[in-house]
Amino acid sequence: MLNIALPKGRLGDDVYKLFAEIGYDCGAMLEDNRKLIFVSEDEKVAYFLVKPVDVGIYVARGAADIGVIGKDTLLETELDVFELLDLKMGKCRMCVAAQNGWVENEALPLRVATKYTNITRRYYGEKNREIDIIKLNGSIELAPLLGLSDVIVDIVETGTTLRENNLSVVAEVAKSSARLIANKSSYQFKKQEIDRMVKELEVKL
Amino acid sequence: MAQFIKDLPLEEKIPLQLRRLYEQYGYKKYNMEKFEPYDLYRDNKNFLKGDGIITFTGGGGSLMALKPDVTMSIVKNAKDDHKTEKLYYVENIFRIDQGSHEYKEISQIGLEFLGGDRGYAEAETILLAIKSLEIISPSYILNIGHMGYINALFGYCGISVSNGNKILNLMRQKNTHELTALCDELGLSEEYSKTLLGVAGISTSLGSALPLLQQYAVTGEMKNIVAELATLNHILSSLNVGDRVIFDFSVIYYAEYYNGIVFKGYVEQIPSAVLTGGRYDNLMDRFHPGREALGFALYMGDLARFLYKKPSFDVDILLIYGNSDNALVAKTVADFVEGVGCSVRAEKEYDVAIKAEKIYRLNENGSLEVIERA
Repeated sequence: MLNIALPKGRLGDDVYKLFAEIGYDCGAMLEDNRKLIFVSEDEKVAYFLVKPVDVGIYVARGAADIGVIGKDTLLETELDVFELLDLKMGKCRMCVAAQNGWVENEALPLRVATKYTNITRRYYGEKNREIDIIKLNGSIELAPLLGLSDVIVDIVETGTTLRENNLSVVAEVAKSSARLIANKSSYQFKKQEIDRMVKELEVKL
Repeated sequence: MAQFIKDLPLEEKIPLQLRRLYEQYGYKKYNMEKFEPYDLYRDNKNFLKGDGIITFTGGGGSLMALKPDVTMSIVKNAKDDHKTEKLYYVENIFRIDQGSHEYKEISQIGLEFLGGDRGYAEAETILLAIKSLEIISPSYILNIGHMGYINALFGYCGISVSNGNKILNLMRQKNTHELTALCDELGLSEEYSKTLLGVAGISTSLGSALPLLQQYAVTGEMKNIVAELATLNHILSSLNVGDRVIFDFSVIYYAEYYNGIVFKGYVEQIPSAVLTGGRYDNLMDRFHPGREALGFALYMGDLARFLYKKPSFDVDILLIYGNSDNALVAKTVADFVEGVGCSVRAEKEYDVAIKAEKIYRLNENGSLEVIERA
C-alpha cells in the first residue's frame, strides 16, 4: 500500500483529483466525515490529510511514503526527501516587498518581517547583506506599514493584497508550486510503483 | 547462553553480530577516547557535517571536544609504518541533529579500511556493508554512487565548484525538473546538459548501470572508474550478493569528504539511511599524504525503535515467597536459574505491575503453587 500525505484544502483536493485520474482513487475521500485516514477499497492507497506545512514532516519521517508540498515550505524546512516532480499547481512567487517608493538605506541592517526565516537568511546571506529578521506568523504585510520592518519576504499569488496596501514587489526570491516528494527509504522499496506514478503524472501534466 | 543472546533486544544483539562479522574478516576493534583536543576538529572542519561540537575546558586548560566523529580520530592515529589497517569501532558520538537542531548522542558502529589495493579494498568494504545490512534485516537496499565520476564530468563540462554544489544538491533530491532548469540557466551546451541529466537519471542494478555509465563516460578518468565498477560488479556477482545493490547518484555527498565510491544502505520500515560510507582519500591524505582509505558507519539509534518488538513479559517466572525461609528461597531461585534455565524474579508479595509468564507461590514447606495472574 502506498501512503500519501496531502495538504488539507483546495490544493489537496486538486491533487487528489489528479491522482484519482491515474488510478489512485479512494471512495472514502469523497465522503463527508471527519476521518483522518482514508484507505481505498482495494487497499492500494491510503491518504492522510494534514496541515500543508506538516506534509514534509510526515514524509521525511516515513509516516507517509510520498506527499505533496509547496516548494516554499520545502525550501524553508530543508527536509531530506526526494523531490520527484513539479506538479505545476498552486503556483506562486516568494518575493521581497516594500511600501511603494521605499528607498533602501544600505548603511543600516535591513529589517525583514517574514514567516520564512530560513529562506530569508539564505537569500540575504548570499548577498552578504546584514539583516534583522522579524519573525511573524501572519498579516506580514502590516509590518512595513507600521514601520515594524523595512521589507517583507512572503508569498505573492495575485498581488492584490500588496496593491491594496500600497506595497509592491522589490525582488523575487524563488518561484513556488506544488511538488511531489518521497521518503528516501520508502522510495527504495516502492521504487517501481512510485516511478510508474511519476511517469503517469508527467503525461497528465 | 545461546537462547539468552537470541532473545536480546536487537540494539544489543546486532552489535555483537556485526563485531563477529568484522573480526571474521580480520578487522581489529578501535577504542576511542571520549574527549579529544578541539584543534583536531577545528583544523578539519570541512570534513565534518555541520557545526555544533560540544566543547569544554580540559584539566590543563586546553579546549577539548566531546567526540563528534570517529573516522577522523582513526585516520589521525593511523600508523605510517603499516601498509594497511583494518579497524572497526562501536562508539557513541555527539552531534547536533539536523532535524531537531538539538544535541544528540548517536550510537555508531563503523569500519575503516586504511590503505590497501583499490580493487579489493572496495569490494571487501562493500561486501561487509551488504553483510552488515543483511544482519539488520533481510529487506535492505544498498545504493552506490561515485564522486570521482561526477567530479570528472563537472571538470569536462567546465562547471564551477559553487554550481557543482547546486547540481549535487539537486541530484541528491532526484530533482530532475530543477536540474533541467539549472542547466539552461548555466548556459550548458545541449551535449553537456543531456549527459548530466542522463547521469543523474541512472537508478538501476549495478550490472545494468555499467553500460549507461560507459555511454556517458566522456573522459579517460570516467572510463577508468567504469572499469573499476565493472570489477566490483564481477566480484559481488561471483559471491551472489549483488542483487540488492542499486547504482544511483542520489547517494552522493558533499565533495570535500568523499572522492570515490560512495554508498548508503536502507532497511525497510526505517525512514532514513542506516548505513553511509565511501572512499575518503582527501581526509586520509591530509594526515598521511599519498595514502587512501574507505569505510562506513551504521547508525544504531533508529533500529530499536523501528525493528524491535517489545517482549510480552519482563521475566519468565515471578516467585512469591511470603514468609518462607530465605535459604529455601535462594535455593528455589537457583534451581530455576541454573536447573531450568529461565529468568526468575523473587518478591515477598505479588505485584501486578510485574509481567511474568508464570507466577508461583513458594510455601513454607517448600512446595510450589501456581498462581493465576490478577
